[in-house]
Amino acid sequence: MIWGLAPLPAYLGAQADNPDSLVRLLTSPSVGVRADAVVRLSLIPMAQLPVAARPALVSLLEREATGQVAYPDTTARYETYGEYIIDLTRTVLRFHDPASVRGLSLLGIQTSRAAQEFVASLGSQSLAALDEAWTTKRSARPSVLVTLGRMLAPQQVNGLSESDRQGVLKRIWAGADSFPIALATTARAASLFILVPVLRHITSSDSDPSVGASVGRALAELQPKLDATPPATVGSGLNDWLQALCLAAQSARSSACTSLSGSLSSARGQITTNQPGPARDTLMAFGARVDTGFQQGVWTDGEHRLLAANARYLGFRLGSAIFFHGIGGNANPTLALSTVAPAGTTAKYQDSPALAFANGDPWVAVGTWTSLPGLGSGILSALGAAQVWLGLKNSDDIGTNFDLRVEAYKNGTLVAAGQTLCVQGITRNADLAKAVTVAFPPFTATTFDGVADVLSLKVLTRIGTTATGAACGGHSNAVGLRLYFDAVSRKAQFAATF
Amino acid sequence: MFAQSWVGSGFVGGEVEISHSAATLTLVKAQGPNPGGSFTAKPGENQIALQAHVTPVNLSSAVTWRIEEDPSHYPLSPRPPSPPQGADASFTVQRLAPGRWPAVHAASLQLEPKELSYKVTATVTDGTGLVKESETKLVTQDEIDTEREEYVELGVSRGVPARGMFGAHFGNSGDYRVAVINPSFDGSFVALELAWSPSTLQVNSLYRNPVHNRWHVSGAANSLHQYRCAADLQTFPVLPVFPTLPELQKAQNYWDLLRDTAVDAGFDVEQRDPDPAIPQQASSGVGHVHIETECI
Repeated sequence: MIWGLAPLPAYLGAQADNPDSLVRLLTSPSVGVRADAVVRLSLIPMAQLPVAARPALVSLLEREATGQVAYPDTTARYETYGEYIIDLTRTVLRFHDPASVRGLSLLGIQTSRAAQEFVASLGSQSLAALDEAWTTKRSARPSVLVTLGRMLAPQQVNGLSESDRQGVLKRIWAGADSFPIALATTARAASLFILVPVLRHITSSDSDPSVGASVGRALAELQPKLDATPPATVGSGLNDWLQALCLAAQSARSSACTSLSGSLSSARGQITTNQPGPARDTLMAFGARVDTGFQQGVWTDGEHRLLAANARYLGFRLGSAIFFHGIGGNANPTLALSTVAPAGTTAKYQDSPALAFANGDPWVAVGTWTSLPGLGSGILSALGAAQVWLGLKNSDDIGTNFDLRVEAYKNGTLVAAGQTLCVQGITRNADLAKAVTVAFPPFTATTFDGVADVLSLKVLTRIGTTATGAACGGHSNAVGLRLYFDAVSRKAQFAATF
Repeated sequence: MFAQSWVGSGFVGGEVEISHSAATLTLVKAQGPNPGGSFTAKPGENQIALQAHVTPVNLSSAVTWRIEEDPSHYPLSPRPPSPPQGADASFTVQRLAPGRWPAVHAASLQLEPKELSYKVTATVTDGTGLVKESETKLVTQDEIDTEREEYVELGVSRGVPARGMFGAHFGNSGDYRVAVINPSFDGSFVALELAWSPSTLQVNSLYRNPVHNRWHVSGAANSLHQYRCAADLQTFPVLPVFPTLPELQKAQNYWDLLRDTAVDAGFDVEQRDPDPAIPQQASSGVGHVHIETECI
């Protein structure tokens, strides 16, 4: 391929017939002349450039970025300025000169990934310039966010200290609400999987197709990374964000930060020492504490999602059991679901209404166990079999067989249901309660946001039947079925995989 | 009496005998250095070689070449300051000022009025005082060199693309049937299209020859559009003159997403918005995303 420099345009004349002259033209009041000189200098091999070229070009970019250059002819050539800035950025980048960080941060990063990568490679040296760009140029903010993300990229070697890293995270967070597309790009650039719950919320709350596509792409990359990341690393990532959000915290927020830091530190220690159960309990308590802080105004909605949803997600990575609980007396208490294992010695129980095979053998509800908002976090992809203990409300019903059905709901919408037919051998004696399991078939995965979504489990029963719907023997009616739960010996539960 | 001996390429001339004389004059060659005898004003491509066969041989130094304008092509093709002399001669095609090119796109679509062209005739005066003339040969730029001549005359900083880079291509929004083909750009562009799928990209402008770039669309003088290394991509929704805020936000989101996707695919982009403190700075605006690669 043959390329040759074209003859000089007439307006450059003989003054631009050598590199030194081209350098002098960089101070021309005409943007057209400057643009031409930049391109011609960019075509000269580095070794042949005059020493003055580098500072002149670096200075020019900075002056362009700060409005210290004349623009008498930009409006006449509406495309000239934009393409000139691309050329100027590209040419300055050839030098890999840290002195160019201000011009690149204020202007260059809006034009190229190479500029973003170079600024990011400078680490803490570039933070002041990026802060200036953030403050003075609103149009540059999305590019600043992405550059900060590149600074945190796993492959980046820029010597960021831990406190610098937290400072970068805090800066990114400052733009999270206003620039969802840039946030998604930033998250991808830095593999910020801790942002998954926040990104998921954006997809559910922002109907703009471009936002949806951008965030969807980020989630498609980050969710598998999150799922594949060891719990200890997820805990470390969550801690980075907590520390970032707590930078310069004051009053109630400072207290909350101290409390949460201690809690998270404990959980991480428990993970490290292979105590998944206690670690899970600690993380769930952490999430509840963030819920409280959110209600008190200590945390914003986004911070609430970031901290609580990730803690709960991590909790479910360590253990999948969800237990049936009762609040109040032993008989027919208020029903609840929790990840905390029962500790009581006396089981609680819930009775169904009377049952009869007549009139179509309808299902009747034993009860619905409901979680607090936010129990589930992440994508619910599987439910393990529910295990409960069954007895009779009245000894007259001995010899009655029962069908048992369990339905899982998200915010009142059915997610999955399973049933076990013709359970026999149920007695009145609580000590002889029968353990029964009901498996869930595969279902369409559904997302829980970790802060507001409610998981509930409804248990139903009817007179026992065969697979064809005929009675499977025994009595055709019953006073009621009794379900035992919430005791060390009656840990009614099911498993949820998020 | 008239005889012809045309050879297929057209570079070997014929013979015109003006009178019965002992002297004969045949135009052997009149051609530029490029394939097909084409040429440009670019150094290395701007020498028109002339060769005549004359008898008696001692008249060789007396051969004078008449270089005339050719009204069927660009009529003011720059002629040499003095007629070339000798049976083996040449002349240099002088570079013209850029003002000769049609400023109107429709006029620029006609090739012939833009092609540099010369009517070349060899003449000699024999010993009897009779003037002998060869047949006249046209030396004309082909389409590719006419297009390349624009780079020369407009002084496009990044230089003149080689002839082999030109060919027919879908992305040609210029004034010629051929455009610069740039596989490097195409490779990146395919990557961008894949990243953007299942949506599709609407390309508003891709290749522009320099005249089209400078005068028909007010492009940047050094624009990479002239090397098919740049493209303008439409954003959606297409905004009315006075868009509503939701319309504007939607277009800005589209722009932002396309920009990020293009940057990830290795393209450089124009900034979208002018700096409020320096409003006279031009920028791409939200209507399109200008992407480019340094692919030359």
